[in-house]
Amino acid sequence: MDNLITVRYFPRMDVPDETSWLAAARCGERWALEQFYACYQPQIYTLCQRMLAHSEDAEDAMQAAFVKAFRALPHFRGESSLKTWLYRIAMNEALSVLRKRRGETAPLGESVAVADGTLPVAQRVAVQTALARMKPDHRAILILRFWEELSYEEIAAVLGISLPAVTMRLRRAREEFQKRYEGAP
Amino acid sequence: MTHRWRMRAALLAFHEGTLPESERRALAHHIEGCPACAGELRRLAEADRLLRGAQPEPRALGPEAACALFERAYLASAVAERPTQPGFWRPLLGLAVAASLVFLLWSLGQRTYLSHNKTGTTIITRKSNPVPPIRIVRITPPSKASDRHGPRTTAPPPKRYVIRWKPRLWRRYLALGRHWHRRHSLPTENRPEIRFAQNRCAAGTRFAEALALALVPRYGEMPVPAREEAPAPVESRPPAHLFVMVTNAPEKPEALHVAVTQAAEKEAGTARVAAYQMDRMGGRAVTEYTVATEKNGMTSTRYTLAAIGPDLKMTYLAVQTASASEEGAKEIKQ
Repeated sequence: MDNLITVRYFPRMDVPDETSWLAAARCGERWALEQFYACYQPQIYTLCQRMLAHSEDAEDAMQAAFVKAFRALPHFRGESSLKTWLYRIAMNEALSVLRKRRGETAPLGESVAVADGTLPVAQRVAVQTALARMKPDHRAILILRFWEELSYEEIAAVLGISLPAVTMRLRRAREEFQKRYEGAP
Repeated sequence: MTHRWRMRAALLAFHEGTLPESERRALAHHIEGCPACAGELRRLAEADRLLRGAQPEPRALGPEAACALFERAYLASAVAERPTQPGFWRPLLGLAVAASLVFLLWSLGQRTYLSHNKTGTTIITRKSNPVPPIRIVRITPPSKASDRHGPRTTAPPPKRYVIRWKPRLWRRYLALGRHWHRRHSLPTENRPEIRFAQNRCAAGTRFAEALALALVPRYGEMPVPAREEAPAPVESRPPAHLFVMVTNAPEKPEALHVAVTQAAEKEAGTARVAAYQMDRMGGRAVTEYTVATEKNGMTSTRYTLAAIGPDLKMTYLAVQTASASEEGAKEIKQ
């Protein structure tokens, strides 16, 4: 009779306030980790998808990021926000995947759909091609700045660099992007 | 920092809106009269426009995929077994490291002896005395005068090899172990192919190749029905494919079986794969497979010998003739 009932388990998708579950999540409570996951999974998946431009790689990177986050959550000191802390873990995972890909053919995005559709398709493809050919660090900072719309301070926290370094790297990333974009066929 | 770099930094700050008001006014005044700086500013704005305009839509995982991913991440992180107070294990780790160091220092003063006897048992003893350099000694009893001049009346004592263990000579020990295994551990009763392979191994051939070559004449002598003759009954039909697997990984017979089966199916498009013998011989698993191939009403009878090494790679060693089945003979006659 036990086999007649199958309980399908889904985590709750209504996300309460962070303070209500953070302490329990740091103690490893499953329900709190579910809230943590439900709260940040869409953003982290979008970040990994934009960085890696490949769904399976993005899922793998996100899973690895959450594994590390679940393990490191008890040691989270709260010096930065939980979002930037998790972004940093996910960004490190995505960058490691990108660095492993070095030498391989950089994949284009699986979809060139854009949010507002202001650019024609050819320009969108050219931009994504230029981004795919850029150095991982430069690509990361451009994505964080223009697609994730983080501030300089948040970028510094995510990438673990200082504010002047963010400015410098952003300028170099822009230059590389212009060079790649103008050199693209 | 050169003037060009300073101007680029200032233009970027001007474009980002992070420049102080006084500097902003001065730079705006400069840009009005400097086409190079105005062009650089236009390029910055164009790059920003392109990057913002190509922003992809946020993509979301489906609920089932998201749940599955959470389960995997949760299980992988092993949060259920994680202690609630992090860092409690650090004193234990220090104690473990100290104990390991003490054990290491103690064991460095010891010597390990490894000896083999004929039954294959391994005896490890420790002695604190220093030992002479490594060499292999065959211990034989002193001969008697009666043995020199007449037939031996008693069975000779078992030969013993004494190997003094030194880690830097592990390759030599490995080779010696293989040699010993080949010469003394394999059951050779009623297995002429194994004796043949052992002799070939002694001549420098690899054991797998030697065993496979030994099996070629054994199966080549099986009767192959000619096309004009009546077909043989199914039970006595010779095997279409013969796969011989020789491996040094006896702990993975299932994986090897699957590898052989898949390779056989890929090679022959087989209808059935039958493992009719599987024998463990002291570290080596020898499996012989027969594969009957039936395609379009014809049964081809071929012999294929293959050896598979520990890396699961198959090496074909011999392929023999083919023949037709009953249906195939009928078709040919028609």
